[in-house]
Amino acid sequence: MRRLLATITLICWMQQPFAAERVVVGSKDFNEGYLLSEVVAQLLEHAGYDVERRFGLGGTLICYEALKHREIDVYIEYTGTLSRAILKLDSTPPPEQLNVALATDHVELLGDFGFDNTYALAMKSTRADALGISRISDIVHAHRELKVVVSHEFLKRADGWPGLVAAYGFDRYPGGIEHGLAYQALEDGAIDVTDIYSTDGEVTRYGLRVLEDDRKYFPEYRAAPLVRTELPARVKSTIDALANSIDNAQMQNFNSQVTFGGVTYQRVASAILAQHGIVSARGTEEGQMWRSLRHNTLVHLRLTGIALIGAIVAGVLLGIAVYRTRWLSRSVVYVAGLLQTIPSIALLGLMIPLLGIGTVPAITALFLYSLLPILRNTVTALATVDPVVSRVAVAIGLSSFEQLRYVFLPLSLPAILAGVRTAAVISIGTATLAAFIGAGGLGDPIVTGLALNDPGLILQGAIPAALLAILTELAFEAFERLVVPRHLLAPAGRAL
Amino acid sequence: MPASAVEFSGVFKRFNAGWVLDDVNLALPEGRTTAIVGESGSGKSTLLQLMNGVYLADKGTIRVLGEPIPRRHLHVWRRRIGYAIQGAGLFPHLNVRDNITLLAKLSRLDSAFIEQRCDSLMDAMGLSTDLSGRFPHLLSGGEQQRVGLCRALMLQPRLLLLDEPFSALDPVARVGLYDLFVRLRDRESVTTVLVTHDIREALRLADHLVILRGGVVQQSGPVDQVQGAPANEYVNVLLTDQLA
Repeated sequence: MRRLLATITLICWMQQPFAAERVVVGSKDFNEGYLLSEVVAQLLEHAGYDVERRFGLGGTLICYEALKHREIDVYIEYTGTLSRAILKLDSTPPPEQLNVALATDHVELLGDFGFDNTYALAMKSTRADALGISRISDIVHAHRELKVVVSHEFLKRADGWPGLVAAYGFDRYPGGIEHGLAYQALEDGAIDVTDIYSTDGEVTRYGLRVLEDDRKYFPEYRAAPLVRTELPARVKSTIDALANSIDNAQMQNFNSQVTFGGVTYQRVASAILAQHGIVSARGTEEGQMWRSLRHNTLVHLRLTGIALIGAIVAGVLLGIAVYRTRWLSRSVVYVAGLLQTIPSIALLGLMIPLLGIGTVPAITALFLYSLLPILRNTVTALATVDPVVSRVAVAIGLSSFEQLRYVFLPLSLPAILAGVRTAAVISIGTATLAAFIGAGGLGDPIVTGLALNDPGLILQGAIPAALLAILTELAFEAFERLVVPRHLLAPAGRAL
Repeated sequence: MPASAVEFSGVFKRFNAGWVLDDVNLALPEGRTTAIVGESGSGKSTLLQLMNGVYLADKGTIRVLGEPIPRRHLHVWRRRIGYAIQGAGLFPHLNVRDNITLLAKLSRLDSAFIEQRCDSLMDAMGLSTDLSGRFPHLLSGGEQQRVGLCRALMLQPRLLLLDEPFSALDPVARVGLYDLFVRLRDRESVTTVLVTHDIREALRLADHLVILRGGVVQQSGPVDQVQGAPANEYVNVLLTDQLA
């Protein structure tokens, strides 16, 4: 099937010889990921490529699998993450060695951006200056009175505090703090030293000093474009122009602009390119809220609509097929229930090797989630039709089909509709997660807003999604009143 | 001796629990009403449902209206046999008229005939045409049962099977319905098999009795013959005690 689609795509592509070459740029679902991928995307657009953005993909695994399965052509990855999470190594080898290991997956790292977004220890610059501290060794040996408090995660990770103790010989046990509160605690002077990511925008905002890792303990997390090896050389060399273009201080500043400065990541990306004398063709996307809202809503409706229609057809037919056999209907409903318990993100992730990313796996996942309520209500309703009525239906001479068509299905209709209604509302909610695998919809602004800490953007997805769910509920209620005799509606419609 | 509408020879039927019918041999007369009388669990309802092929016999042969029960197109064959049941079993989503005429419409009978036949049956059963559009849940138990009988007779069956249709009704409604039913049955001259646990009802409506106990036929014959010479103590007690 996918080969067929690929062939069709290829034919369509060959029929447009003058169309610009298409490059699909993915991004991870946090601010730096968005920003750097946008830089790559604008750079490619400037070079004349037709760029498709699949931003906000949910995590390292989804991005990597998507790249491996040719769903995207490039995204930004960190050397430390590649080594540990993907290649399962204990250390972070240099890029050349990483590329040898990555060759089997037909992906490769291009030149890194020039900064290292690793774990680091930080303190207020003013306090560090006053005490003359610039390196981690300084706080171990000279300043035992400093309050060192680190995040709970850092405290437990092998490459966090335990390793730090081994490398530097700390003889104190630090306190733990929620990472989100640590910056304010530093600001208030409640604590002196905490762990951070070295390119966090907070470094700029709170005036922090990142302490030098003088014993080279923390692994390197150098950000670099990860591309498919078979990408044309000129695309790779275009992207490679970004190598060594941003240092840690600059990255902190850019992240700070996006996170705290109220500047869109698109605009910051344009500014980064402008430093290289590249005036981006795309610019920002402001003023397009209504257009993108309409687009996202339509995509959302398409995802849920197709999935729902599929689930109605499959659920009702399957229900009809199994309801007479008790053990069979029980097992089918059980399996459908099991599908529902798989966390949505896990289900979406599991399907990448089979269906890739984008619309098809998203619809498939929504279909699977919609199946249970429809199937269960169909089976239950058909199996609980009054036995006297069902005996009469047989005895007066209705064929099996006529029994279904004129007796069983009409009597089960209220319950089936109730199942469809539940499925529709679940689908509309769950479909917001489809954005994590690049299927778009109203989840797009939500995922982006979460990554960029932009409540306005989150609401642009959340409000229409909630309205859509409510409207769907009302529409179904009206539809039920229209097609179901009132005396059948009340008990059956609510009981299931 | 008139021809037999229903013939059982050497019929056995068992469900998981054990034998429900044990070597049943019967010949039910054409054009008459036969009452199958027995306690609950006697197998009387099973006996009835063997006659329209809802159950199939494990052993023995059954002939209905002169032919064996067909294996193919059973549902088409069943349309020649009317069926009414305790509680009526009306289709809750259809109004009175649609309940009565559903099968006729599915059989693609002429619509003028359907309307006329439905009106005539409702009239005979004392149902006002005002009730045509009403849904079953708005009818009294007696009205529901009368609609059920109209439905059973709609296709002018030659055989009418009744599974305790009068049992759940209150005494006043029941007696009124007996008279309406007898008049209509005689007008339609339909062979009737009535399953009941009530010997009074049997004696009131039937010409022929089958007394069933524990899946075994105790006695079968014309009413006066059974009354005149009960075959055993059970039949004797049934006739005398219940009538006392």
